[in-house]
Amino acid sequence: MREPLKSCPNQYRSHSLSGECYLVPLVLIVGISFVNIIQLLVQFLNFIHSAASIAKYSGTCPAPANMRLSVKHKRLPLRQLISKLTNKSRDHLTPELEMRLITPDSPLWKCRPEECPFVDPYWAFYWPGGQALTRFILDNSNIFQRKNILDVGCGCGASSIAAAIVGAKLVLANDIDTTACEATALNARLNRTNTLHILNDNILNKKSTSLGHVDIVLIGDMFYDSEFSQMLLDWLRTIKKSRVFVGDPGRHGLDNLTRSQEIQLVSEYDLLDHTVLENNGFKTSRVWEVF
Amino acid sequence: MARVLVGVKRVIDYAVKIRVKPDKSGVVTDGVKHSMNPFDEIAVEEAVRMKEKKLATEIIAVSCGPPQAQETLRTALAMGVDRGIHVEVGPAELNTLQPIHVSKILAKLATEEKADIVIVGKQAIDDDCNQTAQMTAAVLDWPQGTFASKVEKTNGELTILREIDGGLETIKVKLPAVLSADLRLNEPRYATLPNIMKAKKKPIKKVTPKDLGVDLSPRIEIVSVEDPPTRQAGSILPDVDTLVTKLKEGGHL
Repeated sequence: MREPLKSCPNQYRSHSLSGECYLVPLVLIVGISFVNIIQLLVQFLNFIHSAASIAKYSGTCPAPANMRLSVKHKRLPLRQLISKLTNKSRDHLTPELEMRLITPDSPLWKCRPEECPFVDPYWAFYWPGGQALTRFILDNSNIFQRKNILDVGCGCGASSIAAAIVGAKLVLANDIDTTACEATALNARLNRTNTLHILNDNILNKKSTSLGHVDIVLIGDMFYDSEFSQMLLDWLRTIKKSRVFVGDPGRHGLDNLTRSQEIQLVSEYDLLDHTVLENNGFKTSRVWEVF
Repeated sequence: MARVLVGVKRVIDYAVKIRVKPDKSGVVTDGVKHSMNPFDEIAVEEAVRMKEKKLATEIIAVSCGPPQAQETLRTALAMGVDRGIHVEVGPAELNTLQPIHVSKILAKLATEEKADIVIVGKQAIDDDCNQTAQMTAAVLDWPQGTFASKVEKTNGELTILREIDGGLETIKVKLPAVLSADLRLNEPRYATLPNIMKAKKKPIKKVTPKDLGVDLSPRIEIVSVEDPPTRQAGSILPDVDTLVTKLKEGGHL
């Protein structure tokens, strides 16, 4: 009997999030215990505090580095900031899923990275590789049903959410970026998915055995950096027992691999017209299986 | 399917007011905003469109200049170029770096990288030389399509619409070929946040002119750089009759 994915200390479930939503408790304030009222008061103060910090960002782009949120213990303000600065979008290859993203009509779309209140918000875009991989999951639910799934570099969380929707046994969405994990949690709730586990950690430093048994590893658009691509490939070689699916529009990090026997094309999708315009040079996105 | 090499030059931004150095040796560049030569942006855009039409497989951008030239390369990468080559040129040599040098560098890299098409802007807005494409074609002994305002690919040939004095000329060139981009070839795209982010990690290779066997010794000497003469102030006249009288006085009528 194989052991399922182990829990990790800083893992949290998206379905526990509803307790932190400030709107719900404010509505239900009548008829609850004293302890709860204290808790609500704390949350309310937290909300006021975060509202103030959001106000600082309301002038679209410029935010000096020292104003960037230190993330620990500030999950609620962070989520509010994500909600404020992103738009809900179904304008992608998986319209079944509504994702919070920085879209072309968001003021942050055209700002420079140093002006953005989020540090490297890779999670804020639905990359073509992620779109293809998520489409593939939704269209091939049989592959993912009743499986333990690990989504490395989950970003906005689309592939994880899709895997949960099609009936995976357990989905672990992983990203090194705390904000990405919060965005994934928000997006999971937006799509009424409450069976997602989220792990904010650098998983490539971990021995694969520490993760328990993983049936399928998902990698959406992570081959944009040659150095990191190599790390990722080395890590993938240590998890021989799992099937690995990669979504990628043709980034340079995958070049050496696509010429080798270790990888096989599974599916190719035409990107939507506006996605083509937004992703200079890419017209299609592919799903590969790595052996 | 072709591999495209694009030349991108870092120049003083088109919106900056140019100031001449007091010793007349050149223009002030320290602390002045620089950006990619606008005609080179058009060249990059054309290469990216070729890739989108699946006419090109890979786009390589080349920039010759100081360490900051890498910023220009990053802009090209964010626009959709696949990788960059930075040819490091020190500040001393930069002043006298001319199309003769750049064309030899581009020709050498085009050969090394097995490029099928070289595209550059028709001229740089700082020196207005308008020589690099022509010289590169000469060094490589490739056909050239300069001042291109439309490029189409048909069976291993390029059909190029050129802007010439008094009209348009259509020519066909066989590949490999060198092109220079004119203003109306296309409208370059804006590098957006997601593209800048994913371009941060695209590879940039550094080489020196020496590695490429190109001699940068100056072929010209800059004698003097001066401001254009200031225009004399005009005057406002009350009516047309006064204007006619004035023009007659001046012997213009």
